[in-house]
Amino acid sequence: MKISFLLHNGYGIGGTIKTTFNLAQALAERHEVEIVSVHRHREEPNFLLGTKVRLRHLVDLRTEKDHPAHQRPARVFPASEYRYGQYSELTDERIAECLAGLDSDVVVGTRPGLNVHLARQGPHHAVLVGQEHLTLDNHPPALRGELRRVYPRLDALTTVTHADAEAYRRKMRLPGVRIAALPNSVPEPALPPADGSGRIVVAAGRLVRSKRHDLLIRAFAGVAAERPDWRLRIYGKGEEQDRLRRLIDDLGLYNNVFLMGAASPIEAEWVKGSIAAVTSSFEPFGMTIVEAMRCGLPVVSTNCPYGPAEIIDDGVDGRLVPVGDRDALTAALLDLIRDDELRLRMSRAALAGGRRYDPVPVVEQAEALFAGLAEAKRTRRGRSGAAAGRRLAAAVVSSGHAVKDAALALGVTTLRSMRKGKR
Amino acid sequence: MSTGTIPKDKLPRADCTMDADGRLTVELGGLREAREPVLCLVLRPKKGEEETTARTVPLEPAETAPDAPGAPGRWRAELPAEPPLEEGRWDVFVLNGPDAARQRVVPGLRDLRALAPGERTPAADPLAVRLPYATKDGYFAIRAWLRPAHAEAGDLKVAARGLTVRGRLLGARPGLGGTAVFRLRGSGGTTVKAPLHDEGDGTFSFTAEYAELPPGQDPAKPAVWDVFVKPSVKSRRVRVARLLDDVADRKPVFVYPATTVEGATYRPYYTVDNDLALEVAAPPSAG
Repeated sequence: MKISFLLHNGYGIGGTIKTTFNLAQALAERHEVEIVSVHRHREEPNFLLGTKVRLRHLVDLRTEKDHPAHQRPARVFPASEYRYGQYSELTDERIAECLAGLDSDVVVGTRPGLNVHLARQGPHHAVLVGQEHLTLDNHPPALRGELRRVYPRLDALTTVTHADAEAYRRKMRLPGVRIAALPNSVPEPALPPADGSGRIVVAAGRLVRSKRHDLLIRAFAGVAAERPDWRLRIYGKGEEQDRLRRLIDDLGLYNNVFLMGAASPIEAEWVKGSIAAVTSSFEPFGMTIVEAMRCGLPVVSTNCPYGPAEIIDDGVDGRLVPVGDRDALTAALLDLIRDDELRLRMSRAALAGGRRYDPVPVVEQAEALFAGLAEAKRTRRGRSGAAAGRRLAAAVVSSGHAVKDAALALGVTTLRSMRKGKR
Repeated sequence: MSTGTIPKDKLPRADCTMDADGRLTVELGGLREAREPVLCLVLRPKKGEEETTARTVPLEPAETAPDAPGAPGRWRAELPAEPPLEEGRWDVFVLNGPDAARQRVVPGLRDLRALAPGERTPAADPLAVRLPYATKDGYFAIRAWLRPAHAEAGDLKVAARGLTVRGRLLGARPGLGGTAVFRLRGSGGTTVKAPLHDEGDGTFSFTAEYAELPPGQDPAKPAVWDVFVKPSVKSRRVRVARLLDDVADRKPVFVYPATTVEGATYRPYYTVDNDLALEVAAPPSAG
């Protein structure tokens, strides 16, 4: 099969980019795979892609940032999407042109706005797969409304958790669209796992509010008070850097808590620790949890929607604590710090538990899904009239969820278009 | 060097491992058409100056053989500890054969876990530290420090009236009349002294009293006091630095709060060479 991924920016850093690279590389062992990056802002991608996957871009921000069409708002990319501000008439044109020219068997979108492009403009001969790396419930109502309108034209929608797949089945009517959970995959690290002796707690992720590194730092104050020989290292960069810096200073934790900056490959950093911490208030999947487990670290995580509880077996290979509960976080960390035996046992369990996210089983799922849909598409071709009828029927069904979202969205869209107009 | 134009994913990639005894092994992947490849370390010259110092290390085929004949192979070398590398940044290149053109190397996995606790005690006669790292522009390089003796800083305690530093001495012993010495950078020799406390087992502590370390005159040009210890009356000054863990570029990571004393702002920091210094900014002039 020839498989094309459509990605926001393959040159950035983030879970979606990393997992798309991982999946693309694994698929490239047996298929022709390319990643189309809508944006490009630097020479080299941050993550390693290898030589088997082709990476190309549609808009080069280094030379086209001031392109007149890039100053005009996007019309296809939905205004209710988080990254709307980064899309434009130029991206609309380039994406449409790219999709029209694809001879791929399977085209995969990797975020809601790109899935909308795919649904509306995807080549008819190809299997169109929308990937949801966030979650339906967290989308603004206007975006849910938009997705509800166009997603019926997709062949499949994949989510990263079963919980989110269930939300799509329950709250969206997508007849004829295969909905499947396809977790992120993490390859086996090329270096030996942590041996559990390090006195370092490791966290990794962009320094943004939703990751709640502030909560982690506050929780670590309790750890450092009892065990001043333990350190917390936070890898990543982002807009919260200065605020976190001040918090560390205010709490007098500058000998215990370190903002390490971005590190890639991160595996070499995980293995320096013996516990990983994830304190997000929202984690659609939780790539770092799996990464840490694959390096032999038990993960102490908030039980936020949806990823952590599907990955971590509480008390066996990690700990789940209530969202936003500093004291519970401190207690869970100290439980593992005080008890070497427990930590080592959980470390071994984490290593075993992480294996189910190996690219081999995950890519087999993806491959089976894609191949099955491609086969169905071939046999169904010529009967498209029936499919169109079915989709029309789906569109006129208005569920309670749709009506609610539409009502909620009305206010939001007006606000957003006003903002855009002012720029 | 025109290697900057080769895309990084086409360049050989170096994985490396440092063990607890300081043995540094480098394994290179993605090396094409190599016959007798050598690793070449070049001491980065000052801007505008010529390269003068280089070391070469022959590479051997790694145990993991390439999948197919002619496939890019893996090669390894242990970087000998002797003679020690001169202090500075060493850029790493690889040559496919003795007279081949050199190409740069990109960083792969750097397994430096043995260094992370920061507790090792290498021999210090002199102290030679090597630390593989990724340069800002994304190449593999090695930082080296070479010092006759070394004072490894540990925790710093920032208080209202001064900065207390705990550390341990390598290659020197605390004795009678030990002092901490603060030297005003660019002053031609202005120093301030403070008593050095022997904390046993080669460890020490001292406190920099802020009141005794005046700021510069110009608020826009803070005074910088470089920090040393003189372990005993007779011994030589030893630079206080933090060199023994896995952090190659300490300045942006080990950050300490500023303290204001009578309008002047005191802030301890690590220099780009991971040496300890104290920056003192004068109060903004009135009006």
